[in-house]
Amino acid sequence: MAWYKRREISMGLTSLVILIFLIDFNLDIPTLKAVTNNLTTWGTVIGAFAIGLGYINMYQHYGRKVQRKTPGWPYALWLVIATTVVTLVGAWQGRTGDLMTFFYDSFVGPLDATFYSIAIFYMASAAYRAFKFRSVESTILLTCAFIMLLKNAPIGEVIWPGFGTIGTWLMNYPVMGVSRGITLSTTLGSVALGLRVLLGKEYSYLAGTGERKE
Amino acid sequence: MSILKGYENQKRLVYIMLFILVAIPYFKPIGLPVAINDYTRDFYDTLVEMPEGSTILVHYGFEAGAWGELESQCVSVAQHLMKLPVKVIFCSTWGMGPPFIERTFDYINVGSKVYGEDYINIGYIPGWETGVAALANDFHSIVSVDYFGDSIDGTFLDDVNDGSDIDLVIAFECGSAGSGTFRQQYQVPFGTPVLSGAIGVIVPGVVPFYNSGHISGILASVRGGAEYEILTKNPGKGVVGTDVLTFAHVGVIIAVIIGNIIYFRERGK
Repeated sequence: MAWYKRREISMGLTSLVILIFLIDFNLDIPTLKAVTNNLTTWGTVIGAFAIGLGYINMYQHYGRKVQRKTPGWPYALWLVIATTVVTLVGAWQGRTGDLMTFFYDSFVGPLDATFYSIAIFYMASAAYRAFKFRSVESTILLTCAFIMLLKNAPIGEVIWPGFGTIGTWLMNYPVMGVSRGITLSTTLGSVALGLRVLLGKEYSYLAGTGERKE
Repeated sequence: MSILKGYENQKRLVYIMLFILVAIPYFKPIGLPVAINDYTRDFYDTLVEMPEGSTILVHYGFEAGAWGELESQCVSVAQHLMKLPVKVIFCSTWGMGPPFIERTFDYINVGSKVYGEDYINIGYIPGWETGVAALANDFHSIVSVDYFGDSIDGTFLDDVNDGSDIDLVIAFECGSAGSGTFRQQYQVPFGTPVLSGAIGVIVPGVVPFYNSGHISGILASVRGGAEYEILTKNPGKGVVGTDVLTFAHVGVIIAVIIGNIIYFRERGK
């Protein structure tokens, strides 16, 4: 294997970048600031390229589906046609062209909004199914859900102002306690993961190969 | 009753009931009173207390699906910003976000504000959190043209170099990148206050940061938009939307009550 393909090179580069950012965050060194600024800009540029990569990947994946006529291939064909048309129109008119705006306002916007709106029906049927006085735990869950529903609906506080008070208490104490617990745990987990990456113990991000076998 | 037998039938009834309930306010708005909560009042107070000439970054962190819930917030806040002596930068790290910035302008009156001098739409910033970090660290490294492809040279952005030049961030959000991202990239390193305009399901995740002082104010869902419209004396879709919100919530409550009645009847047999 060529030397530049060695995993140690990638791991070393990753550790170096982490160190640069760590030092820059904790110490005020102007030269290092310029380096981290550049690295961050690179990240944005790479992010833009990732969109292009995703675009090519989409064509490969769904193109293959159409070619092999796998189940659901007409949908894949429709996706490929729609993407091609929008790309061509975008290249021709730019992102603020009339036709692009028409596509967006008449198809993308309404469809996306419709899919999102359908969620209320699923939420209602899920609430209908799940919120039952089955046990002590489910009764607590149901009571809290009931209070929060009435706190968030303007009519709740019209019926009884206490729904607002209790709802706010629920948000400020139990919800906040749990939320802080989750936030702190995930943050500590991130620190541990960062440390493992820095020390070269974790390299699944390189090729998804998981733990290194010593 | 056979119509209530089986979960599939009951589910259909819930759907029909909800559909009817949500449709009612469109034909006959009720105009229920809306109480202003602390999150919204703090949001409003933060904005009106901004010193003259402040630069505010407004981020559209959502796509079309969330527009229904955030429209009243975006429109009422943008309208309010156009009346304040501040400069406003609109941007989005969401691919489908920028057209909604332009759509917002279809609904507001910019008054005496001049594009490029008082407000600007810099459009899409790629890279999600990395993009926000790049904006905060070196603004001009990733922004050279506005949404329409025109150079930003000569605009008020000449005076914006990094996060320290931004006095306030308003993050409309339905996910990441949202107020959390701006909290990390602006609030922590530069001390820039961050306001959140969030869809309902995001709010419980934002409230702990409001309570800890990291977020200065929140607009919660359609109701938050309605409250802001009332505060700014600019009633619009949010106020109408609260009727729909109430009916939808009542629908869910009725569904839960019916579900429990059926559950206990079936358990008793």
